[in-house]
Amino acid sequence: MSQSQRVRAQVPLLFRCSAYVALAFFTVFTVFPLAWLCYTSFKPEQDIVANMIAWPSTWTFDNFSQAWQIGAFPHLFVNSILYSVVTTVVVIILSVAAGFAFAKIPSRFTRFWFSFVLVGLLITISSSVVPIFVAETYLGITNTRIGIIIPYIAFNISFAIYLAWSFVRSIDNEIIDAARIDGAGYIQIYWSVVLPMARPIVTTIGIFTFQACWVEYVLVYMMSSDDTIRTVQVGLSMLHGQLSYNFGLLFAAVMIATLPMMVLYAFFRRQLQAGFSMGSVKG
Amino acid sequence: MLSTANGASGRRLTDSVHSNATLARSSRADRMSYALLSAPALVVYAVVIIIPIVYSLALSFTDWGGSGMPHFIGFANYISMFRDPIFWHSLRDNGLVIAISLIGQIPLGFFLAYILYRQLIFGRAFFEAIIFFPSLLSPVAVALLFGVVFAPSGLIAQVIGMILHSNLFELDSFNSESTAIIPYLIVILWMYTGLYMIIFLASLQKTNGEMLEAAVLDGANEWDLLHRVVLPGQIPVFMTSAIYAIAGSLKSFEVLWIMTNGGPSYYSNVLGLYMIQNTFTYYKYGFGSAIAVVLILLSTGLILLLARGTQYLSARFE
Amino acid sequence: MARTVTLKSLMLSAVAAFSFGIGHAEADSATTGPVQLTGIVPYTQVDADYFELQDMYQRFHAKYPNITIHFDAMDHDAYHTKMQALAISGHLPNLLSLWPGKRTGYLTDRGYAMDLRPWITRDNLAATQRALFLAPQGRDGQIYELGVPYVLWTSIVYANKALLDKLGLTFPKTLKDFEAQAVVIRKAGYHPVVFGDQSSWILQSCLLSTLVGRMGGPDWFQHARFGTNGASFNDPPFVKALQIVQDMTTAGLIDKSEPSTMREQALSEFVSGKSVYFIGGIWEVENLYTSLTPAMRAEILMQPFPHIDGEAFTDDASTSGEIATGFGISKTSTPQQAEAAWKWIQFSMDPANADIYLKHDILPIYKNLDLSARIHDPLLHTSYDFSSGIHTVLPVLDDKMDAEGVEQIINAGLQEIVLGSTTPKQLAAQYETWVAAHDSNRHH
Repeated sequence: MSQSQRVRAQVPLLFRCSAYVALAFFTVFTVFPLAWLCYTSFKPEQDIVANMIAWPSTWTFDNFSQAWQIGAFPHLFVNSILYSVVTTVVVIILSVAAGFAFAKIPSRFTRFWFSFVLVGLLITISSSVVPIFVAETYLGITNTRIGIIIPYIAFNISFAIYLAWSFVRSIDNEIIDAARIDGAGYIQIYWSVVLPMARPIVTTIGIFTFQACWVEYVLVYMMSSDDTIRTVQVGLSMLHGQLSYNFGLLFAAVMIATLPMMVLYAFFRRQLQAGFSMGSVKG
Repeated sequence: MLSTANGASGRRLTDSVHSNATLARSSRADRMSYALLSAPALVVYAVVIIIPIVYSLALSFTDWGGSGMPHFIGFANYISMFRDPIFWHSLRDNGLVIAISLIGQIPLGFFLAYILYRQLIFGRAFFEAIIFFPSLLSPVAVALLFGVVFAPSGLIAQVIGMILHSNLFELDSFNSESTAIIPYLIVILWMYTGLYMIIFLASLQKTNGEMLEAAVLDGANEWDLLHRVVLPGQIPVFMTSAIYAIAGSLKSFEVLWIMTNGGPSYYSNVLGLYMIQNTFTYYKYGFGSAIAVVLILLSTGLILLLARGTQYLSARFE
Repeated sequence: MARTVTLKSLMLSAVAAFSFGIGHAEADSATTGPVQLTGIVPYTQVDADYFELQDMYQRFHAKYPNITIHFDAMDHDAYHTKMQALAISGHLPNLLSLWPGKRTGYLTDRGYAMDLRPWITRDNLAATQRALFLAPQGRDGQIYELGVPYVLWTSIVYANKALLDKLGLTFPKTLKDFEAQAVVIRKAGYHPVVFGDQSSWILQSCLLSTLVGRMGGPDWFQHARFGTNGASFNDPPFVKALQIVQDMTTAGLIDKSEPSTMREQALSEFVSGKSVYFIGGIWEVENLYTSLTPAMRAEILMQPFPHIDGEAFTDDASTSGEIATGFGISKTSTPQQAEAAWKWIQFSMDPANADIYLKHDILPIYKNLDLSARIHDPLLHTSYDFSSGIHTVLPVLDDKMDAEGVEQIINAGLQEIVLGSTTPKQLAAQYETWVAAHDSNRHH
């Protein structure tokens, strides 16, 4: 980051203009609906029904207190974070290992395993939910946390392995061969050479996996039979009635659910940046 | 000559020479390492994913309706699918979704990331956060949000109404068969560009600063830097993003389901939604599985095409 | 020979007495031993039904402390998906939330739910419940679910009386008058009618069903449904009903933007005084109640659809509806569980518990109990009067016919009629072709 700061190239005017326009447009485009979400959550329900778009004439915290009460957020949050973090960590560990194996260890099985793994990229959770449910019922792991985490890992690992593989592939073989000549086994190489270098891809895998787990809700409500193991997303989907109608409550709940994520992101940003710039060890 | 982050072609020869030598030496220990490193991932994956693969494949050749014994009916499901106009329209809509992802989300995400990376504006953290935020929102909320934005008397209609000084202006341009999917396209652009932006931002950090310096000293301006130095190095990231985008575009439907329910009529249907409707609303599990299989084949085909295309592009840029 | 007969009959009666005795003993132990039941409901904390359930269960558990029911709540679409998965894996809960018709056909038509008739006869429910609520539901007369005795009217014309007065209009007596009003209303700058058909079932459930019922009559519909008497959906009543939808669109009663208008927005238009009429089901009363001030609530009219020229069924105090959803018992329950489940069902139908329903603005209708004196709010009173004033329940299409045909062809087709991309005759023919080939009503 600091390197690019030192380099100040000439910026053609057209380029600078389109940069500003693009950023401005996109920001407004993003902010507009979010602003509407935000101020609607402060409107009393009657006002929302009377006019969905209008700026609030009265501001109220009722929606928030109701959402907090109904939503049972603290423990839903714990579950969401638990599933997302555990899945992400496990996926990272397993996928980088497998990616390394496929990329750098010669084997005639790699082609087969790799294609096999990529099929998972194309399977949707919704087409799998009934058979997985039947299987989990048979094994007795429905309504358990492990019953959610294991499928999460499986569904996210394909893309992660692909990312890890393409990253590891770009590591110079000289480094690895040098370690081999020194007598190190592949596992040791993985541990002491590849893993330290892999922070950029670890971060990428982490972002994709975490986001995918965080917004998922079909698997959770299918596998769970009560609130104990449900997540924030399921809780939010329950606030949308089919025949009844309460935008303010739902939006307040969405605010409560998502703002902590932004806070977390603000904290981890520094870590993410630090991790990324480690990757430039090229000649 | 500028070399990219990937090894240049000169590497390959030495690769194979070395690996032959090492292969000869301790292949048994190597095989053990290979197994140990890849097995955990493969086992978890296989155990879970095998189930839906076998299930979908097997059921797609039956007429199972959710109860009783399935009857084998050969390719009948596939044939009726290809005769169904709703299938073709859903395919078309899905094509548009993929197109927006590939032509809209990814380049836009890259462009925004580049702007932020090169610090061409102030307040980087703020923009990062705001643009990334939508990808973390619950699909239910997003669908309702934009349902109101695009509604005939919704946000956009009211804004236009204010401009035109007409109280009863109604936005009905999205009611037709060809345009019904457009609101959804805008929504996914809104939702996911931020995700790609973050990924590109991460990957841009890896760019060799010295190379950039050298190029600037050589007289390159910002635009040259972008398309001669930085872009070629990002092709692998474009590739992986594109794969993710294709797979995701063909799979996702939740926002669309709540936002339009595939309507009006079937005008904004997509394959994922088409599959859900047939499985859980019409209880045609066999047919639904056939749709799932077709989805898999489609994605495979597209990704292979993409891989070819990227190979070609990389070769050009080397 | 006489001796063997006597011996046989003796043995038979002994066996009968024995099993009767056992049966009786089981029934007793069912009410004394602890029983755990599970149930899933398709509504969540944003629905009044949810809180009514909590109150009802509290009172029930106080009366039968040995019976514990664990209810899981989920949103509507999730409920159906999950129940199908549970049925397939053989793990249905004891208490099933069921619709009287096809909506939960994936359970009732496939033998997952128990027939409640033996219990209904045993405990003489007919003494306190109107015949309507004990009407047959299954193909052979089975009754699978019982819930709060209440008809879910799907087709009510709500009118804003204040706005009507302002425009110098009165509630139309006939469809012709109704269509004529559209011009006047639009000229004055208001919407005539809003529906909110974005989810596509509204026009079918809240309008077409009544039109079909009136134009053809319930008997004709029964024949068309089962394909008897040579009736089919190509017959004039059905085509005419679809034609009326097209006419209403041309007259301006149905707006071309309806297929993209969400129900919430339609409600918003009506509540904010931008629309004179709102056609929807009785579930809107709850929403109107929470969004209107008491003064405004008094200004709401609720009427069945006006008279249509050429009706085969001329009693205009009729509108489409289905009896309320309720609980059924899954066949996976043990006899002890089934008996406990029945106790719950019976309890929730007991007129003695009517106060819980009233507390949550649900208005049940019992055989010998008139609740109108206990209802104070003007809107709820209007609603109760409406319910009590309807003589005939007309069938709702998605309640009687298979989902695939109704959704893919009728629901979608209605939107296309409004948008002008298909004609009533075409749609009728399309539907009849599908029904003849696929609908389970025509095929056993």
